Amino acid sequence: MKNDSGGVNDMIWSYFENSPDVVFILDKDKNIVFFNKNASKYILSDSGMSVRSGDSIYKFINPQMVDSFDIHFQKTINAESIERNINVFNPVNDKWWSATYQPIYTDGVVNAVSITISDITATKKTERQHEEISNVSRVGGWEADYINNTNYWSPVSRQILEIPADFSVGMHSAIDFYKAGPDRENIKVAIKNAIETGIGFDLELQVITHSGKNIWTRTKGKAEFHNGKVARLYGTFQDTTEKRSIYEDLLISQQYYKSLFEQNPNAVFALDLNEKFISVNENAALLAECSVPEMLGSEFAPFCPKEDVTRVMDFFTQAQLGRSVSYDCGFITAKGNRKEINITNLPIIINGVVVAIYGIAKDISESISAKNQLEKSEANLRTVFDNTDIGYVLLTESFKIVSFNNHAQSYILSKNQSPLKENEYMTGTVDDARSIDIAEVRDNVQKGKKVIYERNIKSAEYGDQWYNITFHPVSGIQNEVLGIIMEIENITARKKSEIELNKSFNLLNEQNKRLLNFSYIISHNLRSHTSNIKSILTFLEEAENEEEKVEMMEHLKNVSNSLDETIHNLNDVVSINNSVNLIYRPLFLIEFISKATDLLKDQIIQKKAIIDNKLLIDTSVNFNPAFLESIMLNFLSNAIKYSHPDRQPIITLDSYTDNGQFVLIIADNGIGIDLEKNGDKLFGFYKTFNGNSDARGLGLFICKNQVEYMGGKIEVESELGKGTTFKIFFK
Amino acid sequence: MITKLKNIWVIDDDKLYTFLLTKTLNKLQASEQISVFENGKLGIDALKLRIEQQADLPDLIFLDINMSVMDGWEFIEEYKQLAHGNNIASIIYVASSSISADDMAKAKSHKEIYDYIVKPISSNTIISILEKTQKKN
Repeated sequence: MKNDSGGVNDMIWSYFENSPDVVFILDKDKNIVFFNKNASKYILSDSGMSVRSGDSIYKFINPQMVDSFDIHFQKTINAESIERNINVFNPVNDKWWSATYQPIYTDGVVNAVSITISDITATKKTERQHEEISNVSRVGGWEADYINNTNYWSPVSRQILEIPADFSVGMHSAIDFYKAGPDRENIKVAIKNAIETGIGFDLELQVITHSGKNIWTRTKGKAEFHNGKVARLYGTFQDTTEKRSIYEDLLISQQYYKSLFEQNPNAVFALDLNEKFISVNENAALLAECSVPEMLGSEFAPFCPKEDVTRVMDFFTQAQLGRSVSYDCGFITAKGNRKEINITNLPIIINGVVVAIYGIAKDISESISAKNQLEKSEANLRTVFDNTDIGYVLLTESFKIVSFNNHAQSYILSKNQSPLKENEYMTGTVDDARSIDIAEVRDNVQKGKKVIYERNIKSAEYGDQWYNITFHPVSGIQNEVLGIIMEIENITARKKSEIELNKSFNLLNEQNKRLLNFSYIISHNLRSHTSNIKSILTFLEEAENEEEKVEMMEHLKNVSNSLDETIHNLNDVVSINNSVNLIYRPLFLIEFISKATDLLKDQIIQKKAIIDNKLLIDTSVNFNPAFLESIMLNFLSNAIKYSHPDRQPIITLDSYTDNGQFVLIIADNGIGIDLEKNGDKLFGFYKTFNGNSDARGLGLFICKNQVEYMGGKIEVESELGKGTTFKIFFK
Repeated sequence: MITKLKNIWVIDDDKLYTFLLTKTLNKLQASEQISVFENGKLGIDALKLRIEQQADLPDLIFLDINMSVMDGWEFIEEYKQLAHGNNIASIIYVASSSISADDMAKAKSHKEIYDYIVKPISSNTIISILEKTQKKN
């Protein structure tokens, strides 16, 4: 409320209005005639009401305080006193308040009272501390009467000084109790000063007690004058040793906490409710890469990475609400470096109110980066696991799937089985036509053995695929089985090359056999001629007459012819084995039969043989013409050659189809072959079985080679004395 | 110097060879009688007949390997069976044009075969064979 009455009044008005104290002015009837800004705030916080000019003060006074108020108001209005401090504790805002009543005079008469209420919480606390200290300390009294020249020490004082009851204390001897040196000099000066100027003293000095103990004491003194001369000195005497030690303890504990704060290995800081640093230790400054003074008063937010601000502020709020929180966040130093920190926030509570929050920050950049590295290396391992060419399924001992990689999954899917799922059992999924026996796997794995299966899968997309399925035991330190690793390796390439290898091995084997046959031909057939030539030459040299020489020359001619024939036959054999690019074409069998019978005309006529051709005129085979010619000639000439002497030779030519394969039959009613005895030699070199002296033997061998070369085969059925049937399977 | 043997058999299907061998043996006056068989079967049949008739058995046999009907190895098998229970003490030489080590090793595996000779057989070889055969008898 403003009273408009000029410059000075304005100043007063402004002073009151803006005073940090709460100011009310009441009229005689205890109605509020004036109040300042803080007064309305105070009323609001105290009673929750808003104050208006003209309101009765009683409206706002706590009922318990009314009596006390009345007394003070009455005394003030009566001008009995100008100052009264009423200390009030307000539990709402946890503060102590002091009220000062002051009379306001108008024309020499008190017609109003001002009440000033100040926050004395801080003072009150100190006071209470002092009270506490006083409670534990002992206070005695003393008096020095300069008129009667007497000296009095109260019992407590004597107790403090440990003076026996019968010991009288003189004026000066009292001073002698003070410790020699500065303590004693100080008390002497103070007493002298008090006597001369009347100024009292209050000193904390060391005293040596009667028994010789060094104690701290507080000596207060005041002088009383009578007719301008000092009449007496009196005061209190107090043992402050304990108080002193409490004070020292306080100092120590303050230092202790301070050092705990300063020397804390972590960054420790306190933030006010606006998140400004109100105290920081050296390590906090170190973390922030700046100095302690630079940090003080600055806000926390700039140190916080943008993405973390909201989260961190939320944690601060939680701490401000009284909770302690711990979290990881980023931290940007004053130099702009990023760190990873762990912060623990605690509320700082004074008298039940959170006034600030503590922060304890740890630099975890290294452990974060170590953790990231670990995660990265784990991720790398996973990548290796997922991208290896081998499928893996990790199983527990009871075949529960722990983990698997992509390859394993695609293997399972390629078998049209239900997909692998973690935490499901494997039993169903391993099963296939040749089921993997889980019991067998388990038995072996428990013994620490691995089990390997080979599996062939016909894939529409990739053709035949071969897999090696290996179950490895995973053993612990004490060889206990912890689980099973199922390893699925695609061995198709290996398998295919194995098959290729087998093929070439067989080919090589075949060629080796041919080579052996060839060496047999050389040693038995070629050499038989050369050995004969050698013999003949010996006879020629040793010939006793011309007649013998001519005979030997004749023999030599024969041998040379035989040798020539043998070499021709050999050439035939070798050329079959070397025919890499042979012509295939459809050939009419009838044509080749006529050609052969033409060549064998003489023998057929001689033996009166019947060629019974049951083949259709257009029967054809896909074959090489030269080979077919040789085959026809050989089989037919053999059939005629080994005819039975007792009956007319009949040679039947026929065909049938076996599994889509064309089979030519050449059957005779000849002497037959004892297959049990000679079957293995039937198609060998230069074998003749029938005691027929002109048998060449090589024919069958050549035929067999030609047919096999064209991808076919020859089978033989025969009974001695009855006849022989050859079956030629064309490809 | 060389006492004539009573019987020498040549079992071989190479007519030129048997002709030349017989000629040499005759020159050397090796035996009173020389018999030639074209294959193993004929040889075995002759042996059986001689045993039956209790006639003289051959003192020395030149046996070829590669023959039709019954080759040298089959002859040896049959011979073993005949010798079992009958007292046949013929000395058998395998005479072949084969220089294959396999054939030589196979010949050695039969105790009935005295030795293996590679054709052609020189006069000197025949003389030494005759000497050995006489000692044996």
